Amino acid sequence: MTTANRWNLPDLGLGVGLRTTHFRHIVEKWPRVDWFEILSENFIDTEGRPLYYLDQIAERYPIVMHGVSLSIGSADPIDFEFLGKLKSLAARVQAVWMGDHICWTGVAGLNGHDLYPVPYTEESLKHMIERVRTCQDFLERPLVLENPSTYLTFRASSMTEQEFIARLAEESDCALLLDVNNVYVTCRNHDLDPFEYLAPIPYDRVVQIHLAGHTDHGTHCIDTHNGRVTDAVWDLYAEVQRRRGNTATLLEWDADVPKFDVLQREVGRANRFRDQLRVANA
Amino acid sequence: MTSSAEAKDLERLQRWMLAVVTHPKGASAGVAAPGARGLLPAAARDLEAVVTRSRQLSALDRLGIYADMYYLRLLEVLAAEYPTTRTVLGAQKFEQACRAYLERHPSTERTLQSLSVDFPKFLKRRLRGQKGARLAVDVARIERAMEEVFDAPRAEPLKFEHLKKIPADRWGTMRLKLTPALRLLALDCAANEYMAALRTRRKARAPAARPSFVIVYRNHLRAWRMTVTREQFALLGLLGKGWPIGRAVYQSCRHMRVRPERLTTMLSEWFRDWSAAGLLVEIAGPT
Repeated sequence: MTTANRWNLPDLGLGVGLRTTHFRHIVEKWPRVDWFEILSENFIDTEGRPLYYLDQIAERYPIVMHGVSLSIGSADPIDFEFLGKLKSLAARVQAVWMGDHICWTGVAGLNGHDLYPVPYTEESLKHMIERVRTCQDFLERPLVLENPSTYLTFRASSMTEQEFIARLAEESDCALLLDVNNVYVTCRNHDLDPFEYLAPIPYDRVVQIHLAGHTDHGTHCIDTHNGRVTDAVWDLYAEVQRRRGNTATLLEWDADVPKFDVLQREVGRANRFRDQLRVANA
Repeated sequence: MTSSAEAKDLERLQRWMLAVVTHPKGASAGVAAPGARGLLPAAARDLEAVVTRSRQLSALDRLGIYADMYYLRLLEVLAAEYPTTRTVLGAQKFEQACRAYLERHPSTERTLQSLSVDFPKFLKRRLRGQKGARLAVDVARIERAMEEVFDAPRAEPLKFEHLKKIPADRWGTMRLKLTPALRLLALDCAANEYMAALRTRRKARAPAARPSFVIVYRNHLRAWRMTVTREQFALLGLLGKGWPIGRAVYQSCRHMRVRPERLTTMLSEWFRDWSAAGLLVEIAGPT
């Protein structure tokens, strides 16, 4: 088991994704939760209600920034104006770390607002490594990149997604956010064994774990973030905890968002595994 | 360093995939469309030469997942931003308009805040001459303005007490700065009253054609809309352009049939209300 990450980034405990529907509850009740993750794009290009609440919340809780449109795998040039906005927001909320997904979201100036897979080839790996390094230099901190849920693979791929991620992390020196629900969804969609997927991940680079619900359509799975974490995903979480040790863990719930206390209870279920580790390590 | 040939291959593959999954008629039509075929001819002949199948899904099914999600996601955004426009048009006609809009105005931004910036104008062209077009367009303009003021920059409002301290003889040459979270809308019908009626009743009668003036603004973190008179609308417009207060008042109120002392009282009430609504943020002397 790896017990620390290479940047000594802290184990923040159990957090939840900050969603607009809970703003008032949070600033009125200041609920017991270890930290919040924000969707970066919801707080840039706006100076209204979202930032008003975020400023208050950031004074009381650690904040992690997680984005969806960095498009690190895109063939388009890096958007430094966007990176600048991310950097400003990170300074404003004293973000503990910031990241996005291993994917592309648009090309030729157009944005599909989805997390599209790249072909897992030497060429796209080299391309992405260069871009990650450039972004990290600009942001002056490691990027924390997440494995996406994917629904297709390209024939041109010459390595597995997990091999691609491991090499990307090592060669660009970035950190990883391991989304265990995405591992489950991707493996279901590509007929893979999720436990085998977990094997090559460099755990000393994993600084955060995501948990979420998904929708199983029988023929495939969609990463819908609309419900409780399934038992199969909890099994993967236990495995990652075993390999990695206690790591900052976050519950994402974006559709049919329930009351805040439901989120608290759901993410609190992760304590079972964290406590087991504490006992085992004692 | 990535070679330019390799970068070109990646770009071609990404452009192909985006063309396929954003095609308005779905992934199957997207693969067959000239745009995608021009980028990757091999995919049109044998899709599985580019995208693999899984045990349960074909390559086309798998692309279809992304294609379905593209429209679902963006239609959901538009429906959330234009709920009353949707009611006016009906769900089906609204969705058709949104799909046509997205085809014509695909997103070029990393955030979704400006996705629908041209939707009211698009709707005006699309619905020209159709029944209910006037109301739908006016409601869409109000709903777009609500989105814009929600995200507009913050500015500290000017207190009315501050305005009251300014000597009467200096008012005429002073200039007021309005909050950036304000939009002025000259409409073709009483769309604001229609929206208000819909909030209390399920159905409301479509208003007749007549000029209507609405301001949309943010105050205490919420977006508000208010119908104003022609004179108030004109005055706010001129103040917003930086006119001195005296000239702006004369220009906007010169046709009002009220005694000067009544006009003074009215202006005082207007500025008090606008100050309370957070519309006024700065006052300065002649430059």
